[in-house]
Amino acid sequence: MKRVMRIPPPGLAMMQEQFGKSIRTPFSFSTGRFQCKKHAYSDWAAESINPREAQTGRDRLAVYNEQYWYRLLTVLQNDFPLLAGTMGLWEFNQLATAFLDQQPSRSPYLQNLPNGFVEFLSASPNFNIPRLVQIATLETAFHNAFHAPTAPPLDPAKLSARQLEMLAGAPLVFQPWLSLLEEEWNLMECRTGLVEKGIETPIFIARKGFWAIFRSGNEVEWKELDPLQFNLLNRLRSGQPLGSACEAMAENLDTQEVASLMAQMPSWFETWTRLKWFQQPLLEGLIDGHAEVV
Amino acid sequence: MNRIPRNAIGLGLRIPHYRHIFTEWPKVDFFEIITENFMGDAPLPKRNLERVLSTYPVVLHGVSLGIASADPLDYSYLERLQTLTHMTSTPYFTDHLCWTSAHGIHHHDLLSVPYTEVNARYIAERISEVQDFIGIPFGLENLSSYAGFKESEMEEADFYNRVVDLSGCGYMLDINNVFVSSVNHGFDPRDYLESIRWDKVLQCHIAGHTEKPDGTLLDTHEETVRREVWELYGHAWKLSGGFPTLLERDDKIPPFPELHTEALRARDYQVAG
Repeated sequence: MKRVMRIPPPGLAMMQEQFGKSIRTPFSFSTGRFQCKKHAYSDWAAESINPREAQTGRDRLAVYNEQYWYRLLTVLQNDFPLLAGTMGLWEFNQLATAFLDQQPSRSPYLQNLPNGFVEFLSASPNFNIPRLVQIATLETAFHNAFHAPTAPPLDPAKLSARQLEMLAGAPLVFQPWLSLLEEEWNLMECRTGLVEKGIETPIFIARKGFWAIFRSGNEVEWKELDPLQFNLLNRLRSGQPLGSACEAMAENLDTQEVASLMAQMPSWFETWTRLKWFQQPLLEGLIDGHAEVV
Repeated sequence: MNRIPRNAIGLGLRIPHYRHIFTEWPKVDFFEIITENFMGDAPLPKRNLERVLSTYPVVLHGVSLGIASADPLDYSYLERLQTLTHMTSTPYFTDHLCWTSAHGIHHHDLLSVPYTEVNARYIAERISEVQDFIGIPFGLENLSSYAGFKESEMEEADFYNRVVDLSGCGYMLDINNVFVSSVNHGFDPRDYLESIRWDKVLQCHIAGHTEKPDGTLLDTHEETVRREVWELYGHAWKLSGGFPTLLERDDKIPPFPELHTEALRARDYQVAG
């Protein structure tokens, strides 16, 4: 089909730019409540709108300005319920406003709105607090486990002996929906308490935890990992092949820990592949995930 | 391809109702989905949609096409939309007479344009291109709007009719939106309805709205349908001789039986003229 490069009517692009800029104008938080900064709207946009009765063009733009922010702040509150609950809505909305002001949506899909939020929080001079960053990372992992695409999974049963041997020396690529997280507080417990039981006031307890958050079938699931397993998975994620990751870990472990690692590794690997955490690797002679018949 | 009877009454498919639908399988003429919620990579929405499709006809209603945007048409979006039309066998797809993005920034809102002949022609050409690409009829929905442009050369109804005429698409007439805009801009909603070419109406929406303290009406879909909107719906039915009717509710969503009962109130107003 022929795709036409159509030039929009004169003035339409400018109108939409000026109108868009005006309705994205962040609220003022200085008076203790949300307030539209009508004076900050584009003069051109305000002048282009018909006043009606007591309402000026700026008053009419304010309706859109309010709707824009209410809608998008609500989306982020829903994506980050524990973060919003921990910070309080007033603080959270200021953070989310600063984020969207700096990085407005560039996707037609609202599910992409949180992209870049954790990085923004981590770089924020006011909110870069380790617990908040870890909560946001955890909630992003849940969002990702639901929305990310799936690649064809690794199935060792379909590999030849030679390919299995090659696999030990090849980097393993994780599914886009799998996240590995280390927490320093009981954040997973607080989040599930809030989302599943409606416990709105989290009680944070300092406690190390290691988690995999992933998709199984159509559902989002999470699984606590022991530190050795977490360490090994992190090495695999960084691109180390399985064999060298085990060797590198062994250098920093005592004899007992090395024995434990080697004893548990086969069953871990069986679990990871059963849960389809790895993508099908690019191995010589592998066609559509099946060993080539020679 | 599914057929939606002219007297069908449907509901917007919403997540809080899944449990009821998948256990009770209530008798509903058809469901309408927000297309963007099923165009991503997440498998769960599509799995739930497959279950709905096993029993009910489904039509597609989008919010992000941006047919009036000065930005170029997004063909990656259109390809995903086309895939969804194939999956659902929808007889038509609908979206709004609005823009949503400017210079690549998406506002996730339905924003209007000045009602000028040159804008009508530009939008109509884009509709023809989209309709040709997707391959099934397109229904264009009128907006609830809160601001009118000094540059406009015609009334909203004339602009809407002009775009439909030039493009050859159908109407997705939202009767609540007609009422909301009539209050916000001071026109007679019955005149609006009387200008519509009813043989080209693919479907109508009804919904609730909210009144701000200053009297401005907002198209929030968070309340029940107001009496004035039902009366306008009855007037539309008299003028038209029938169309598929869809009740939209997006916030403060009541239990499924309650919402379905509200949608079925449409029968009380379906009196032929």
